[in-house]
Amino acid sequence: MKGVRYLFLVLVAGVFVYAGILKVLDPKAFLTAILTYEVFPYNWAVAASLGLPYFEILAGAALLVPAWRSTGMLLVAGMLIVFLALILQAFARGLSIDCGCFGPNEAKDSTDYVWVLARDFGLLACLGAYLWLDRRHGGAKLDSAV
Amino acid sequence: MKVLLQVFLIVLLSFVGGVASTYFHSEASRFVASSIELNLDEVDGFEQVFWVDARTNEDFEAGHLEGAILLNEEYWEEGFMGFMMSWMPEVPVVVYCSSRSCARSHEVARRLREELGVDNVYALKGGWEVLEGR
Repeated sequence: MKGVRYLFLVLVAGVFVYAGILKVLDPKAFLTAILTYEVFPYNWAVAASLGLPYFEILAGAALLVPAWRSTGMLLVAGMLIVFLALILQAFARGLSIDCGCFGPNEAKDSTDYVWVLARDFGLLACLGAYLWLDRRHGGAKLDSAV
Repeated sequence: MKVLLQVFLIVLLSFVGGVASTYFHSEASRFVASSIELNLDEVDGFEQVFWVDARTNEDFEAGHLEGAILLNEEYWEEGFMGFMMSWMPEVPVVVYCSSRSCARSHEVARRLREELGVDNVYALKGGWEVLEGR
């Protein structure tokens, strides 16, 4: 059972580290994607396109280190909630966005909101499943660390 | 307390990574938008404008501003030839893209400024959607 709960954690960590590496390699594509949300001023978007990828990688990697797991979970869950809020506001405004989740984006592609939202909710659910399984099997490390 | 310290360290390392990326990917941060971006009201103040469409070929074919020249990064050589045949140095150049990909117009405007050695090349704030909406 321990293996199953870690599988959830490794999945989320892998997604964040992979997504972060792709963005580090091509920050311009990520900048383009951020601007499509029409929320941030250009200069803020530039700063986010350069710094956020490292934040994703480090937060994702923190999930895999027991002593850093609480922090990783806090940051990853926080990011997922922010990403969901950004996608939902774009959906509500009828914007056509490129989510910028995984590397370079084609300008002509339109985002499939349902898929993007489902993926983020799925990742949140994985974190929730890990926590639930951890508590069910007497894991108190997260609570004590926080 | 431990979590706060770890969060601080991750933020700090991300900042350092971001600074490093600024060095290695200078094209992503070279331009401050305000220095080359104009809104439509400002563009309307020009007597004459040379419009450049920086969107994809497909978007251009689907509809574009009358008289605009297609020039995007994917087909730079072909587009640049066409641009040079019509370009008049004294006429301001305004590049537009789709708001879905507005970094394109900044990149094309930046490149034109560099290659032509002129300052009167701008990116239109809001892009094609603003032009379409008026």
